[in-house]
Amino acid sequence: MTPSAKPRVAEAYNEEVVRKFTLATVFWGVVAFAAGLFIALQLAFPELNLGLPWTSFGRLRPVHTSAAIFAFGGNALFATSLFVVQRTCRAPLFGGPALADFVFWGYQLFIVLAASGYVLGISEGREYAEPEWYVDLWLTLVWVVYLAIFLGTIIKRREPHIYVANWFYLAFIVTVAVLHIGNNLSLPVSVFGAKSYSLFAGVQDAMLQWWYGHNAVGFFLTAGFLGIMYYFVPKRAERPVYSYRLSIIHFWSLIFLYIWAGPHHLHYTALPDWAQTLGMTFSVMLWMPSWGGMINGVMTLSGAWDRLRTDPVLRFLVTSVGFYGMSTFEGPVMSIRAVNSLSHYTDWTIGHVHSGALGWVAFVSFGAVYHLVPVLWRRTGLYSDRLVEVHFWTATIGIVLYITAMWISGIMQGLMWRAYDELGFLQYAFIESVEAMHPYYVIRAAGGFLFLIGSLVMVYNLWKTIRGEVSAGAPAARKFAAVR
Amino acid sequence: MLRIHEKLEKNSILLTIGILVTIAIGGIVEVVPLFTIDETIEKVDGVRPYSPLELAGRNIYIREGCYTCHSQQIRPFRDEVERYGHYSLAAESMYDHPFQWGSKRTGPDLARVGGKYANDWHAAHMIDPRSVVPGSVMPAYPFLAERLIEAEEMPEHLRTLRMLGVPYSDEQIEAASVDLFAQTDPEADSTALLERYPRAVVADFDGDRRLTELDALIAYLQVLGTMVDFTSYRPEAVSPQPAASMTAAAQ
Amino acid sequence: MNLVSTWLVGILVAALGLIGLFLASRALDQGVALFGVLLFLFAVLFEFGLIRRVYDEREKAEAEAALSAGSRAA
Repeated sequence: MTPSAKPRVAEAYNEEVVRKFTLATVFWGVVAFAAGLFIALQLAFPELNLGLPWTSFGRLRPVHTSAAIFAFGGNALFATSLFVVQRTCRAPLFGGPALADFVFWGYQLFIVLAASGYVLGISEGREYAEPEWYVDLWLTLVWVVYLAIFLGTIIKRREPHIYVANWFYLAFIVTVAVLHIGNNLSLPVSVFGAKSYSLFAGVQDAMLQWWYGHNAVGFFLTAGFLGIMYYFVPKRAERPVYSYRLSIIHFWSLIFLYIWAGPHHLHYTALPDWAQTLGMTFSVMLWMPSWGGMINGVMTLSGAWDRLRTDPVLRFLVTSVGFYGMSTFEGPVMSIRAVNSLSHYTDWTIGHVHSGALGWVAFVSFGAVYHLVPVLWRRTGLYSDRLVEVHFWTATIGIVLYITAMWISGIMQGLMWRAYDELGFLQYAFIESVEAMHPYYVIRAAGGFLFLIGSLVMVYNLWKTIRGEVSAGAPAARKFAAVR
Repeated sequence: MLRIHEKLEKNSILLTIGILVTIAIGGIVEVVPLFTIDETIEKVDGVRPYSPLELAGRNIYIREGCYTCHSQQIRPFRDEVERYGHYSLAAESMYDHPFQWGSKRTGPDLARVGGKYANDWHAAHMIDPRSVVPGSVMPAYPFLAERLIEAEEMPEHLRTLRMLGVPYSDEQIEAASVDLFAQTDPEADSTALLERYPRAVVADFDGDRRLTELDALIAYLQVLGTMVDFTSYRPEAVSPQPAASMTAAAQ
Repeated sequence: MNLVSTWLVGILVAALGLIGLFLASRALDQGVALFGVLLFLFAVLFEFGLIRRVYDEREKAEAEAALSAGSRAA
């Protein structure tokens, strides 16, 4: 197959917007980790709520979750999807630099509106969908433009075959649009006021919220990031994706099954039994396509395992896939009603979320960013590979502290709530379970602190790289960082 | 199969449509029947729309993100029912726009907290949680006692909820602002208020004569879980199938 | 550089800026007021950015044309 000509100078790839999104990813990542650390400390030391309206845990929690999912995760998805779609389609972005700039700045405005709103008490009270109606409308506009740019670029492609990473990105963009609109249907009291009431109520509203909520995880945090994996792992390992057939099977079964999993957030609630059973069954089945993805990602390293020793960036990417496998096993286990009867409402859920968010989402993002920065800024390599190792180990220890603390505290809480004494009375008052959590909240905060430190090491390394510096101990330049 | 897939991989529109069809199925199957199957919401007596003061309090609950630490959904487990009260029915949240069942218990479940604590306990707890519960990690909300409720907006809120299906009458909408004040004034005549909102709690909740956000929040907390009379509720009479497994689990 | 797309985006954003101003002027609460003002500021800054981009591209194109004309003459 003859390599097609690269785009002519007048139609060069739009790397400017990818650079902007990459910097935004790193910036919001630090914000998200710092916000998480602060609210974790608030649970251990409640005086940190300060008694002020703008700093209470209830208002700051969505600042952390939105910063982590939408600001950090979202910008990572924008950066990588716009980079990957151009490269794999051999076409510059549809709509030109002006439209791409609109998506960039428009998305940052969305983040600022959402976060400032939460602090001011503007929230719809729906997890991961807290922004009020007018911010939802703004995001819808930005998202439609994003879809137009992404799909438009694919349509204009010079490469007839659509690369697998783009199937995942496309599924992510399209499904998130459907979920966002479906879950945010609400009626404002006045079009000039922030407050709105949801279209649905009670049990129907609950189902809609978790149809959305679980698939925010499934499509925003999974399908989209699998897109990242499918480009950056084979690219970094310089190996082809392990199995084409597996990628087809796991793609379609993943996107089909994920949607059904929502009710596992509602086990033993007033949601009808039949819906709970569907949610549980499909969640357990979901383990298979998830591990299909993990296998495809990890096995891509066949014939290149030794690179894990020498390339810490690849180590981030492959470790992320390992954590992905862990979380996508734990998730189905927690979806089983018997297990859920213990885990629901406890810190175990938080531990599970963070093994996925930190171990999978953040690590694959770090790997992608570390790979991208030298390419985008035309450097021969990162300032220091040694610092990437420092980041890796600091962050990994942080994650382990976090999740083990939450496993212990979560299971302890669940057991304390259901404990009876010899006389047949409930053994523990609720407050006793709260007091028992304290040491684990401190350990969890320590884990989060390490994770934040790791990210600051990354910021330093990337800043030095962008400035064109190379540290004394840096290894010889790798060829994929060469100018294209 | 691979040949069919090759077509999808070379045609972005087909791929997009394929994705849309695939992801639509689960949502439709799980969401639509909740609207068409009657037994989803049990037919029980007692559940009524929130009074204006309770609604104002609920909006404060949502604003402050209370759901991030408190659930409002009791499961049919022996220990849970013993600790919190009867397991939650779908009917009890049928007028909750949005639902606030919560997903975390950093603090206790509040589904049936109504009537369990005195008004001044709630006031003291909100202003400084550790003054009444020493080991608590809850934030302090002293500013709620200083902020006043905006009464003029209330009728619009009820009107909006009526558009969404909550059965507020014209009378209730017209009297919305009046009812706000009436519910915090034990010396006023509350007959009309109680006719419109049976078993609403009438009190000067925070002990200071002004209509504050603290009044509204406590009024909301005091109504939670109190609408259905469980002494006369028989699950088999209202929703045969699901309840049978639930009562079995509750034993 | 695609001028059609730049104009379309420019008009769209200008309209959004005006909507922002309108909303801010009639806002009943802090949330919508802030939204309107931020939307308007976003539009103003974005339009400045667009104008700067167009002129930058033009300058670059002129510089390159001069360079290649110069090198041909040499």
